[in-house]
Amino acid sequence: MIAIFTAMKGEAAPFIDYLGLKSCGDISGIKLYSNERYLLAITGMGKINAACAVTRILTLYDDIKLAVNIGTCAGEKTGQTYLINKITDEDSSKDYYPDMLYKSPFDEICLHTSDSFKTDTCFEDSFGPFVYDMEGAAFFAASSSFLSPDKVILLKTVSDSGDPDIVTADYCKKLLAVNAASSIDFIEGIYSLLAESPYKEADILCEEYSTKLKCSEYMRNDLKQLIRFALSCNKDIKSLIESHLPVKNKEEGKKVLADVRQKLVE
Amino acid sequence: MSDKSLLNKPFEHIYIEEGVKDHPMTLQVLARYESSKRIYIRHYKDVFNRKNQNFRAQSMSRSLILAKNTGNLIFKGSDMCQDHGNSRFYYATSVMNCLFDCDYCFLKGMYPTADIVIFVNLEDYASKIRDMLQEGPMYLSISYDTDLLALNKVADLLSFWTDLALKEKDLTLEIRTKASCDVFEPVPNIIYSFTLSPQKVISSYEKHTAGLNSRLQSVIKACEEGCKVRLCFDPVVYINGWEECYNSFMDEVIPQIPWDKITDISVGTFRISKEYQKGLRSSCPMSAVTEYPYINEGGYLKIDNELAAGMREIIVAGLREVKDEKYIFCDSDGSFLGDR
Ligand code: SF4
Repeated sequence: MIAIFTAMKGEAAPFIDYLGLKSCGDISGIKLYSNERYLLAITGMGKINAACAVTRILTLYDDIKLAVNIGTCAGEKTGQTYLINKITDEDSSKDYYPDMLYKSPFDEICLHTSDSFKTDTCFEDSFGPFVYDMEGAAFFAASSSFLSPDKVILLKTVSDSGDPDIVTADYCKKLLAVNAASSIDFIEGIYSLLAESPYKEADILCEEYSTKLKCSEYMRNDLKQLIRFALSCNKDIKSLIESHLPVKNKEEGKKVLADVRQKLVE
Repeated sequence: MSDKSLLNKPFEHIYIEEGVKDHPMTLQVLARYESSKRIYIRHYKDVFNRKNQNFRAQSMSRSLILAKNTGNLIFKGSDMCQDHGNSRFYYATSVMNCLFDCDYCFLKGMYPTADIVIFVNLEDYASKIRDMLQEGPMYLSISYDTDLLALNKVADLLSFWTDLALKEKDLTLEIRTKASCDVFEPVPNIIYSFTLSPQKVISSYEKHTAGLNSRLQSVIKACEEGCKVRLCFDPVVYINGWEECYNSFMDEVIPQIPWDKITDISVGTFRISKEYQKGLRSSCPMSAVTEYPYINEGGYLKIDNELAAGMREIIVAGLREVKDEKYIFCDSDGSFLGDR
């Protein structure tokens, strides 16, 4: 599942429309929309709201594989959508780095986050140009406790150059609608690359044979490793185990594991 | 990962510590990667040491980090490394991580990321080494946390080390590699160590490294140029049909090598510190070499002793036919042939 986090309803609206998401209630004031593949959460503005919402959602939904923060930001080029490659929390001076593994149709830039509105027009520091928002750093810090930094993505569209008063819900909706399709294409591309667990087949076999061999937790770990090894070098572990079945108790199961191991590494 | 066309090229992103952005080595690397995106950072650890990184995903599209090493530059050699009789055996970490991607590489267990760091302040390495040489000759492995020959296309590190070896006669450098190379500078105190593996092992476990034939050609070339050459049959790893695989490998290798020009040979079966196992398996799942049910001896994971002895014997028996035993070192996995 893919989770999209936006701060405001106006930022969420183009994606709710584009993906055909349906409202699915709210959790502690966090409004949720979903379909079978996406969950969109409206976090509210500011770092604390963002961090709390992300933590809540990623704790509740353990099948989320990708977290995406989409929203507006202040910056020099109004209308430009950026993929964020560095985030600086202006309040703590801490820097965060999402992995940049995937080709994107968007330019990249650094994002500065702080709890206050930006009202000046300076968008460059000694490290280079940046855009500015009020959630990004908190979103990244919270998400990366759950997901690796290749699975945490930030897409920001410049809404103003230090004039927050012009940023209405309707304005955000129109602005973000322009790149909604290309944003979702990009997200879908990444999602398609996230591999299924490499251990799927091994896990199924382990489930089946740990019962048949009357395994304790410790034996189960041994069995799991033997199955993974056997599958990785195309050895027929099923026949090896089956030839010893049934076993009466744990002790017999242990002997089978020792014998199977011996045969596998010959 | 299925569609690799969705991934950025390696080094599409280069992270540069603010403090080294004008260092000559930084400028040299950036000139080679003009179109890469540059991200300026305060400290390399802010990127390198991020929590929860996915080594497996990152190794599909590595980033490069250019930084200054302000910590330890030179380390004492570990027990698990062959010291070839050198009591002052050290290794230098001027690079962390490798362009190659061997399934069994200990770096996967040791480092939290697949991104590669090049420490550009090589001048500090030179002065540290000169200080250490005051206390006597030293043997320094410079290709320990990376494959330096492979990385030379990214940064010309080799010429720095060659110049240093030419100036410091008490310094012996070892450059270990799985790359192929056809230009060698014969320096009496540089040992080129070539790791040789069966082609089946290379294809299965040693991604992006040179094929066996290219490695053999590099060995022959280095010998012809008058370089000191060490051959490393290390690690010998488990592979399905290992007996046949290693026997035919030796049959292929033995007739091609100019044995009289080989300085020495090391042989060792795979072993790794237990603490690296988790990282190794998660970064390279379902590979027979990571999933093998190793035995744990004193905190090190090893192939079963009997099997390891059988594997080693195939290599050593072949080598004995062409080289005096005193040039064959097998001590890092518990056995030992060569003289000290
Ligand atoms: S060549 Fe050496 S350092 Fe590089 S990945 Fe392989 S084992 Fe690791």
